[in-house]
Amino acid sequence: MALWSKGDKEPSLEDQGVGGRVGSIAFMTLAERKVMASMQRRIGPNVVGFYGILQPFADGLKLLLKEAVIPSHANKVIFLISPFITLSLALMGWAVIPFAKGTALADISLGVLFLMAISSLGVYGVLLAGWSANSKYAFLGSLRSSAQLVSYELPLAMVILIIVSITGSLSFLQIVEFQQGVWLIIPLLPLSLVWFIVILAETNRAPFDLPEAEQELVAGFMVEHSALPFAFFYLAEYGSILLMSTLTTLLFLGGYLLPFGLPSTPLLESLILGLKSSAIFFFFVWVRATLPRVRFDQLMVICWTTLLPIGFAFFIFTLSILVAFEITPS
Amino acid sequence: MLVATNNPDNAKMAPYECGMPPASDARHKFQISFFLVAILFLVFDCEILFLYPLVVSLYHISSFGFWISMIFILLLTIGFVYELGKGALDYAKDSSSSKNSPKY
Repeated sequence: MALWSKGDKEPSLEDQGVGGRVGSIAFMTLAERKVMASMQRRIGPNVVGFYGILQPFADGLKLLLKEAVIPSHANKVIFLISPFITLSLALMGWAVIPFAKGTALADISLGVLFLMAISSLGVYGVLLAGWSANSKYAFLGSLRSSAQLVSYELPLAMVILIIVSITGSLSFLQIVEFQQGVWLIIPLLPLSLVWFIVILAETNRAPFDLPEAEQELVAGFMVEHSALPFAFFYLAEYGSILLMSTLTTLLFLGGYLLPFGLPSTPLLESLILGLKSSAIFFFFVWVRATLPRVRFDQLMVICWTTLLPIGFAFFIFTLSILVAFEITPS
Repeated sequence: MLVATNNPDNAKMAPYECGMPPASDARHKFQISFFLVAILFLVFDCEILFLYPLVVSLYHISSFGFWISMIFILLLTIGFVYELGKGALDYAKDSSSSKNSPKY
């Protein structure tokens, strides 16, 4: 990407990280359109490049060359800055994700807390975008979106809390290493179902894509954003989906570990992590192609009266088991 | 954005409202439920954050710490049940009981 061409020095690990993320996000948009097309018995994008493989770049270039309309009533600085906030927060979480054994940009011991802090801040981009646009659709969309994001933050934090209580560590590397024996999806299957529902809602995906309910709110909080600011929101959305897929892999599917404790190399480990994350992303698209959208009050009721109590009950259950059998991680 | 065309006019710059001229400012009143959700979120997020130090030090505080945390969760559960009983999350009831309140 553009970051790689500054000077003639080797691209640093950070640059490769950001460039790689943006590249993979671009191809994810293509993958989603292709998979959706297959599920609906269409062909999907197939003109640009071989089998439409260059479609995301064509789309990106088109958005780059479009006119960026800034509404006259908007607060222009906040209006233009909010997509940048959203995208940088969506990419910042990758700093603590381990791609292979010992290969994270920053292997800090409080990686889980860092990631949760970053994902909580994501609501600011949505809120600022919707408020600054000064349009009724954007306003209502951002209200809904922020209510949804903060609500589903709670079950999300609860699930991570339970995993931390089992593994006894806030570092992603140690959480993955803990799963050498058995992937956590097997002992925590009910919890992983809660987690799957929560990440769908947290990334504003169908069936919880209320902020972008086309019939009532057009495009939600980003209805006034066009051209490059819109592209940034689009990238941020898919970036957070990719982040959540990878997080699911790390927390439940053994991260970069091969099944049955098979030996591996760093390159193979990274490939395994990518494969597992892609499978979770396929699940995202599958759900979108299958389920209809829920109503907004149903969305909030599911979170507050179903997922959150389930989370608390499971937390007390897990803690009781750990204390009763004296198997608390030291 | 630098290479893109830029020729704005009044209609293009107007807030988008499906082709209608905007009737009023967009920053109008909204339903109180959104505010309640935010306040409830504050309480529960703080609670979950307080539980994080507990679970990573569970080995050292053993069953005494466990029971203290159970009391902590019990108190918050009572508050949660009270909130639900008061209908803090009852969107449908709110919008039908007072007809003039703005819808979400």
